[in-house]
Amino acid sequence: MLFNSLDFAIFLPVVFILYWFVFNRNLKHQNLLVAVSSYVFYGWWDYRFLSLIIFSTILDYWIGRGIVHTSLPKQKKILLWISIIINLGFLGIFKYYNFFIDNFRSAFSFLGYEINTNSLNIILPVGISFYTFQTLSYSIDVYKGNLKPTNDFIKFAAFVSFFPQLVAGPIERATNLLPQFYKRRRFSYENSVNGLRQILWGLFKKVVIADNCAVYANYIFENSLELPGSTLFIGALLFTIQIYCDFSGYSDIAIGTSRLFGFNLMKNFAFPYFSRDIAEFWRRWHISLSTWFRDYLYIPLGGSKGGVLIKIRNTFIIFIVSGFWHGANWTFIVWGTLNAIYFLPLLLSNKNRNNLGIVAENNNMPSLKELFQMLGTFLLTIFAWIFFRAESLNHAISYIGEILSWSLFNPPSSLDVIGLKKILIFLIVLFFMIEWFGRKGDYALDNIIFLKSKLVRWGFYSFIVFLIGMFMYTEKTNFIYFQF
Amino acid sequence: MRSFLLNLLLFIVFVVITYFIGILMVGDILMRRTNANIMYEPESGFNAIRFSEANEIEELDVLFIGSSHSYRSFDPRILNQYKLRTFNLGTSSQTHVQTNYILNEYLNELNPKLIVYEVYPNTFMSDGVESTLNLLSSHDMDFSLAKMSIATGDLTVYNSFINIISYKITGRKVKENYPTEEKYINGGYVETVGITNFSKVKDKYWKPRQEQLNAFEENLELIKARNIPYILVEAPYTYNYLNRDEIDKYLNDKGEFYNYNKLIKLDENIYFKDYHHLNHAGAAILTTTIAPVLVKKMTQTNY
Amino acid sequence: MFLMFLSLIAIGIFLLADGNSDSYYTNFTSSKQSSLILGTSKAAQGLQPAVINGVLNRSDVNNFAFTVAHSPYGPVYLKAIKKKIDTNTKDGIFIVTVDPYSVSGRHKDANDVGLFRENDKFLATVSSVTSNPNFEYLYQEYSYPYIYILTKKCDYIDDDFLHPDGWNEVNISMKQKDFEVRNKSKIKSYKKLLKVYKFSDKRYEYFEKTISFLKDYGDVYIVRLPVSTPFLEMENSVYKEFDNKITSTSSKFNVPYLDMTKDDKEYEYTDGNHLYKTSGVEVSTLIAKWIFNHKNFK
Repeated sequence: MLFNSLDFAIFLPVVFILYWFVFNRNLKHQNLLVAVSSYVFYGWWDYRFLSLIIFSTILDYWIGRGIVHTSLPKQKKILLWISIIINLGFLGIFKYYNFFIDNFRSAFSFLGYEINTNSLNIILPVGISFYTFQTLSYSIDVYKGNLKPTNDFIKFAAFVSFFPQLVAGPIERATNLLPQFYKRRRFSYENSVNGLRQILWGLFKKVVIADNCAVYANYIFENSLELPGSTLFIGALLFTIQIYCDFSGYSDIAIGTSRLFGFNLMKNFAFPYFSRDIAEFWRRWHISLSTWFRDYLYIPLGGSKGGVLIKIRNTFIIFIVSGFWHGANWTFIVWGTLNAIYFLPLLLSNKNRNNLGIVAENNNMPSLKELFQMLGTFLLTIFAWIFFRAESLNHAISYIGEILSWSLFNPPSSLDVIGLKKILIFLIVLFFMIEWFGRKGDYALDNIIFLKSKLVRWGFYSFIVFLIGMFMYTEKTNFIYFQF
Repeated sequence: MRSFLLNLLLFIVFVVITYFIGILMVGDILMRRTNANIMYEPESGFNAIRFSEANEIEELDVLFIGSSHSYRSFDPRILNQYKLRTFNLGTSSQTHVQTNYILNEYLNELNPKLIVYEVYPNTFMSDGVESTLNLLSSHDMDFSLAKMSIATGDLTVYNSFINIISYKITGRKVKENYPTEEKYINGGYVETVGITNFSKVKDKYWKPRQEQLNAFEENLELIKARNIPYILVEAPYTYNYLNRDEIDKYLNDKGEFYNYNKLIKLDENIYFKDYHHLNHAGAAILTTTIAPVLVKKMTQTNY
Repeated sequence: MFLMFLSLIAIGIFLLADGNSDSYYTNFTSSKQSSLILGTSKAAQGLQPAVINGVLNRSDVNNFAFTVAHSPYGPVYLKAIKKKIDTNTKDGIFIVTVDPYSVSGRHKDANDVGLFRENDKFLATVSSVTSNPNFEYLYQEYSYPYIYILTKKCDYIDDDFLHPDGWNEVNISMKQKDFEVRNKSKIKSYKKLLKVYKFSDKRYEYFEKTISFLKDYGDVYIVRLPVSTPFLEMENSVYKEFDNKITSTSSKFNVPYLDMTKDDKEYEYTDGNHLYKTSGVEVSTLIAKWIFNHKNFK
C-alpha cells in the first residue's frame, strides 16, 4: 500500500479508530491489531512475500529466546550467526543473486572461461533491506546483552512489521521500538497533531516536489546523450532534490503516522542539504542506516580508533557496504566509494566533527562562509548522486563528461516538451525556504507553533493542502527507497 | 481524544472551504499558466458547439458515437450526398463509460435509425479521465455527469469539477480556443486540413479494462433495447495491436464489425493528421467507403 | 385506370433508383459539375473523386467516365461533357484519361463519325445528364428489369455501386483463383477486339477538342492509367505511336501528361485491366499529388 494512495487514506483512519476506540483497553489486542494491520498493509503489494517477513520474525524470535536460554558463549554465537546468515541470505538471494552471477560470469569470461549460469527473474520483495536490518539489530543486541529478549511473540511480530516504517524505514533499533510495545500508549493531542503536521509535510515533499522533479530528472537522465552539459547539470540538481524529498518525505509520513498511534520513531533526516561538510551531511542523511552501520559494522571493525590504515579501511568498508545496500549495481558501489573519498580527508585531519550544531543556529541567514560551505557540500552531493541515478557506470561517466565539457556554458535545452513550467522553480524555492526556517525542529513544520494564531496556522496548512491538490503529480510514482 | 477529533473535523471543513475559495480565486490562472491539476477548457473537439447542435436536431438517420476517431473520420457533407442525415456525437477520448452517459442523454431525443459505434481499441484501455474532463468542459452539468466525475477518483477531475461550479456560480464563460487548422462542420464533424509530421508509435498490446468492457456491453444492450441497428467500426490508425486477433474476436462477437485498418489502405504520409487520426483527406476516403454500407443498413432497416 | 396505377407504381420505383440501380444512373442525375474525371471504365472504376478532393482540399471533382463503348472520345461524349459542365466554372480540374482504345474505332473506317458505336447509346439518346430523377434514362436506357431497382437495394455494394461523386465501386472477389478466371477471359476478349480496333484520327481530333473546350473552365491534366503487363502490350499494339502523339498534344495545349503505365509499382486489378479499389486509392492519390504539385509550382 502506498502512503500516497486512496487505499492508505482509507486504511489509516480505519486502523486509527480500531486502535483507539475498539482495542484501546487491552495492550495485547492493540499490539495484535498493529501486527495484523501491518501484514494487511504489506500484503497489499504481494501477499506471497508475507511469508518471508513471518519467517524472519519466527526465526529471530526463536534465536532471541535461544540466546538467552543457553549459557554457552559458543552456542550463543552460533545462534547469532544463524540469524545473520539466514537474514542476509534472503537479502542476498532476492537482491544480489543476479548481480553476483552476472559479475562472476563476466569475470570468468574475461579470463577465457565460459561458465553456464542463469540469471533468475527474481522480484525484489518491497522493504526487505529495511526489515532485515531491523530484525538483525534485535538478534545482535540480544547477543550483546544490550536487550532482554522478548517472550511475547505478538509484540515482536508487531515490532518487525510495524507498518509505518516497514517498507522504507526509518530502520528502527529493537532497543528503541520494541520497548514501546510493552508500554500502554496514551493518546496525546499534541503528539497526534504533530504527527498529522509531519504527514502533511512529508506528503508535500513526496507528491509535489519529488514527483514533479522526477519527471524532468527522468527525462534528462534518459536522454542525456542528446542534451548539453548545462541541462544535465539541471537534471542532476533536480534528482538531488527529488531523492531527498522522496525519501525524507516517506520518513516524515512514517514518523508522523507512528505518532498518531503513540509511537516515537527515530529521526531519519536532519536537513542534510544545509550541511557544511560531508561529515555533517552523513550525520544528517538517512540517520537510521548510517548509525546502524556505525554501531553494527564500523565500531566492531575498530571504528576510527586504530591507525591511519585502519581508519581508511573502515571508512571505505562502511561507505562501500552502505552503497551496496542500496542496490546490486556498480553505480551504488562507486557512489559509496566517492563518499568515502569525500569523507576521508575530514576524518584524517580530525575535522569530521567540526560542524555538530545547526547551521546559523542563532541567525535567520547563514554567514557568507557558511553559505559557501553549504554550497560546496551540496555540489559534492550532486556530483555523487549522478552515480546513484545513472543506469550504469558508463552512463554516469558520459553524463559527468558532458557536464564537465564546454556545453555546461550552453543555454539549457528547452524542457517544454515535457511541460516544464516556472511553477516548479517557485515550488522548489518555497520548499527550501520552509525547510531553512524550520531547520531547528525535527522536521520543517515542527516549530510552526511559533505562529500563535490558530487561524494563521490553519491557513498555512490549507495552503500546503492546496498546493498538494494543485501540483501533486498525478501519475502515481513509487517511493524511490522501496527498491532498496 | 474528543478535542482532537473535533478539531480535526473543524480543520477538514476549514480546508475544504479554503480549497474551494482557492480554486475560485486562482483556479483559472493556475490552469492557464501552470501545469496544475485543473482543466476547464475545450482544447479540441468542439464539444460545446456539437452538443448545442445536437439539441436542435429533429430527424436523424445515422448517429456516430465514439472517440475523436469518430468525429474526425466521417464527413456528414459527403454522407449527405448519399441522402443520409447524420450526426456525430464523438467526443475527445470518449471511452465507453462516457458513451454510456451520452447515449442516456441523447438517444431518446435523437432517435436515430442506425448507430455507428466507433470502437478504437485504446478506449477500452483508458481510465476515462481525459474524456470526463472533456465533457466537464463542454457539457451542461447534471447529476449523471457529476456522478461520473466522482467515480473517476481523479484529482484533476475533482479540481476541474470545483472550478466548473465556480464558473456556474459566477456566470463566467469558458474561453473558446480552438486550433486554427481545425474547423467544425455541421453534423459534428471536425475537419483537419493539412498533414502533420508525426512520429510513428510502436505496436501496442490490447489490455482492456474490465469496467470499460462492462460499459461497452451495457451500451450495446441499451441500443438493442431500443431496437436500433448498429455497426461497430474501427477507423484507421498507423500502428497495430500485437494481439489483434483477440480484438477482432471480441468485437465480431459483439456485432457487425468493420475494421477499416484492414479494409482500406491509406498512405500515412498523406491521410493522417497524427499517428492515429485521419485528416480531412483520409476522412473523405473513409466516409466514401463506409457510405454504401450505411445506405445498405438503412435500406435493410426500412424494409 | 390500370395504366395509371401502373404508371404510379413505375414512378414510385423510379424515384427509388440510386447508385445501386446500375453503374451509370446517378451520373445522369447529379447536378452540373465544375471538375470532371473523364474516360472509360478504367477511369470510372479506378479514380476516386473522394481521394482527389481530399488531397487537393476541394469537394467538386466528379467522375464522369463510363465505358469504352459509351464514352470513347468523340462528338457524343463531348456533347455530354458540354451538358454536364457548369459554365460558370473558372478554376475547375479536368482529369482526362486516355488510352489507345478511347481514341480508336472498331469499324473498317474508324474515322466515320456516323458509324461510331456510341451513337445509339445512352450518352447520345438521353437528352439530359443533370435531371434528378432522370425518367428518360430509366425509361429508355435502364437495362435491367425495373424490379432490380428494388431488389438490388438489399444486396447493396455486394457487386458494384455508383457513388454520388461518380466513382463506380466494384466489389468483387480478389482471391487468386477468381482473379485468374476473370483475367483469362478478359485477355481472350481483348485479343479478339485487337483484331478490329484501329486508331481513329477523328476520335483523336475530338480528344483534342475536348481538351480545348475544358481549358476554358480550368486546368486540364492528361493521364494514362496503369494496366497489367499483358493488357499494356495489347494496348500498345493498337497504336504504337500513341505515347508520342499524346506527348505532342500535351505540348500543343500546354497541359501536363502523366503516363502511369511506366510506373514500377505493381497495382491490383480486378481483371488485369481495371484497378481494384485499394489500388484505386493509391493511383488517385498519386494523380492528386501530381496535380497539387503542378498547381503549386507551375
